[in-house]
Amino acid sequence: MIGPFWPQPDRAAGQRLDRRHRLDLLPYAFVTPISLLLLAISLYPSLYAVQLAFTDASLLRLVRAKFIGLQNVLRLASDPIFLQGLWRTIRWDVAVVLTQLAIALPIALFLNLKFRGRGVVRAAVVIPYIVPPAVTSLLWMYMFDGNFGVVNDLMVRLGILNEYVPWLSDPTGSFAVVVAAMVWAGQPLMAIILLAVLQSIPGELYEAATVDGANPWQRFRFITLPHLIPTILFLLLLRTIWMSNHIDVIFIMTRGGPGFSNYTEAVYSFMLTNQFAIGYSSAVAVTLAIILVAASALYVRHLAQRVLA
Amino acid sequence: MRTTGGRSRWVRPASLTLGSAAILVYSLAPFLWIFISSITPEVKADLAKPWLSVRRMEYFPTHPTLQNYHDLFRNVAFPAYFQNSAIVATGTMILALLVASLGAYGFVRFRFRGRGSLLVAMLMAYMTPSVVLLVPLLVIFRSYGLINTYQGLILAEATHTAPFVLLLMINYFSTLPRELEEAAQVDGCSRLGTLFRIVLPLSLPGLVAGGLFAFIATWNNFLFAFLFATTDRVKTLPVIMRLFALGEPAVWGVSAAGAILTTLPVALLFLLFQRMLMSGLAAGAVKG
Amino acid sequence: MNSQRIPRRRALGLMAAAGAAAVGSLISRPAWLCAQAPAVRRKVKLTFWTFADNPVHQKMIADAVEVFNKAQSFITVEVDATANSIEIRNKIVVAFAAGSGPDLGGTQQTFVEDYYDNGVLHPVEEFFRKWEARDDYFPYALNAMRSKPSQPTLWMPNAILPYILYYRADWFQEAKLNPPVTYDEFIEAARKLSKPPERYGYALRGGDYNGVQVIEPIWGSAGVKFVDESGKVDLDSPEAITVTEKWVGMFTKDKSAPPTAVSDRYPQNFALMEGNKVAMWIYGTQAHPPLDAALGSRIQAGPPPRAKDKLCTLANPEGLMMLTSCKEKEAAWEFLVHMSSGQPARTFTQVRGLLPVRKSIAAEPVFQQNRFFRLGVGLSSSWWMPPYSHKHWANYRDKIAPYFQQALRQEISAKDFHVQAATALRGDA
Repeated sequence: MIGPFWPQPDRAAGQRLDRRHRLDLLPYAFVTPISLLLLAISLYPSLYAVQLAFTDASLLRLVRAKFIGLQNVLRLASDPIFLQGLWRTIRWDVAVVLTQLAIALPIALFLNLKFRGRGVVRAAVVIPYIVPPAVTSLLWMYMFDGNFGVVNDLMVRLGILNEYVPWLSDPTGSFAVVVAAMVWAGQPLMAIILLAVLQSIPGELYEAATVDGANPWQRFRFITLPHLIPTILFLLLLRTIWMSNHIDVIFIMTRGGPGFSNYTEAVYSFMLTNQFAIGYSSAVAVTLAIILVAASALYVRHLAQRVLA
Repeated sequence: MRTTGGRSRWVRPASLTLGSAAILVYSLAPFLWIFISSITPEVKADLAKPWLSVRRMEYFPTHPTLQNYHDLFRNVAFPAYFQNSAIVATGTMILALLVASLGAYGFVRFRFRGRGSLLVAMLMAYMTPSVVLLVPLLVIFRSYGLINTYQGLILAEATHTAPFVLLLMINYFSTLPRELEEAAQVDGCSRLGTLFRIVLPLSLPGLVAGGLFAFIATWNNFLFAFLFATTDRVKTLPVIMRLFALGEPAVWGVSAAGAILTTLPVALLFLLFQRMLMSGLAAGAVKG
Repeated sequence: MNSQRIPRRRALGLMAAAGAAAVGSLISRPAWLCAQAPAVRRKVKLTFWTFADNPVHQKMIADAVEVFNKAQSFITVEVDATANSIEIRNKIVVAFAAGSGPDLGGTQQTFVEDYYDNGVLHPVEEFFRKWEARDDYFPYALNAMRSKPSQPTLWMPNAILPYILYYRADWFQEAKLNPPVTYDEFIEAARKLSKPPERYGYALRGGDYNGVQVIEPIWGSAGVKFVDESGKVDLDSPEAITVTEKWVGMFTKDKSAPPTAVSDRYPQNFALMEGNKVAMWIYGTQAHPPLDAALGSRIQAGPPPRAKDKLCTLANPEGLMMLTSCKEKEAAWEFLVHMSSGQPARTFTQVRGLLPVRKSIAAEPVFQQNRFFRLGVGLSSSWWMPPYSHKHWANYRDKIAPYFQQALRQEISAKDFHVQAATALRGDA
């Protein structure tokens, strides 16, 4: 699938840097702690999940699980909830991640400016991220409540709406509300990470550019943006993985409804697990993971070429 | 920045204020409603009668009260759970930062066989939804006696925060020029020493971001705590507070009070912490 | 194992003591201490995982457990009541599958057969059979304790949750209407009392399975058997479809349900009642304390509507079970007795708003003074449950909710909904 595609270890360069003979083992020493942690407690369960995907296991009687080969896969191929779930997952990922970026980037750029009270604004920015997810879900659910919610109330008072809208009773409305909640809760992390990158751009670069006569847009395009792009790509990838696996906010706010309109693959897998159909649920989850791996293969290649070179 | 005369003297402060106001409103307005809910009295007769849930919107409570906070402390051993959450979150943050920094340094500064495959394997493990991993995780934890322990929780949480911090630190380290490290090594510094004395201090903003992420993710995580902590000894806040928010009927005022008390200390910590570290580095990282 | 026979004189003495303990006094010591000598005499630790609906309920459970722990020094019960009724199933089953299940669990009637069929639940027959208080149980409860007549006593329910019809007496009076008795009267009353958008006739719930659950007794009263003795499923019969068409029609045609009905769950329904926006609501008796606190005498309750002659009042038992992972079964039984007797039994019923399973507790004055309790008890001859023990009931129950939402949104017809329900009940995906 993805093999090593960079040059073999450069012995000469290594000897220049470090005269110790244990050079071959040293890098492994650095990556061992995290490897142990992840491979033991993360990879093994994932492999177990893959194994489960080929059985008809039920959580209620795992011992009676039978190997059923590709039956789960065939079932997936004809399962409308799963097939539409692919589209629903993509739609959810794109909406949340891009909106989060669209909000976080200006915030990060803004917070990079020097002004009084910046620290306080920075701390305030983080707050949506810290609020417990259960509370956030309920908060936005109540804010958009179709009978008593503050959003309906304000919009009617301001004349934007004529009557209250039952946001969560409608597929589009509920999607909008859940996306809004998730964006609110998630953009602080992006903003802080982007800000941290902005902070590490040397000021001299900007000074030199200004001396050369560059305007703010040119400074942004030729200094700021190139520094930000690797991080933006990294954020896009990781947030997409995250959102693909996210369940809590969607479930608490909508239970996946109305109907199946908010059944992303992760939510579907969760529902199946609640029905104790762990074999089929694993099949859904593993398929989702494979798709994510394939999608992120490009990024990993980019990472290897640009970053790890 | 540029000052070209009278008009831009007030345009810039005005736009700064406007920008700050916009950000503050977006970030805090919903939170403000939580705060207002927390000081709005619940209608009740006595402890035996459950409280009401969704209420008519009261923009300014006519009788603000601290009763909800009082009830929260009376019904729940809040300090104990707060402490548990703090211990587990701090432990996870330290563990994740440590292993991720070491790992990221190894990935970025060395070329070794299997580097790409290893990274891919770690990313892959990250991609399966936790829900499906529950049974094998529980089996592993049980056989190593990690259920209902701080160590167990910290390990479980570190596992799902470390990949993110790893990639974050890989991102950071790769932007640092090698000259500084090479200079240090010529001076006789070991690789490990270089990491700790040169690279990490330069990456503090990244560490702050990664640490914040690991801390918050653990602080708010429900699923692992729910399954791996079944005794009060190690139970964390989300497990306890959830029933306040999601119960039938929900005690919204008290869960709002809980949300305030859960959020503000962490926000304050961040305020102190980031001021110390981030603003000091805005002037530029590498000299010469 | 209590295998020796108790001599008659001692038995009489014990029964008298049991009677005295159960009927009269305030209990500061658990009832079982008076009723039989504890058999367990060494230090034992038990884990008990149960569900709580809200923090008050949570505290009740913790307090009851503490009373038990303090009253004797041999058995210590460690309780975890942080899950709600959906999550507790998952928690118990996942832990059990991983080999670390608890000794005791809290459950509702719907899940008992599932647990038993899959070897999670250990029947309490051997203990219950010898327990004096077993005659104190209502026949309905005794039936609920085993899913099929051939089965042993499986579990220990300690409360019953009947679903009644709450209604705004003041609005009915104003409109010169009587509270509805038949299903058609109910639909009609909802229509008459609706004045959209200020108020609606019925707080229809579409947000989760409970919205379907409250229709089940109406299907039952229309003659639907769900599954008959020969295993034939009739959930897609014309009678059932007619009932659902009218029910969904409240939302789609009559406009007697609020526009938010598709996504409404408990908090929204409750807020509508409290906020003077809806006239009727079918829900369990446990909702009466906050409703009473909010609306006072304006809120009254009556029997749920019946489609034909037979009234079916949905009444779901809930309580405790012993798991097969339990190694100290005698100790677990003593705890079960404690939670089913005396003060805990009162707390879990009276304070929680549910009805008791034991006649001695139901005879206490509070269950006659409170109009909601009185109604619930008065309906006991019509208490009814769908066939929870049917092999594929879980399949239907877990899957049906989204289809109901689709029916409300008219994406599928009531007939399609029932076809789907019947398919699920027949065991197909």
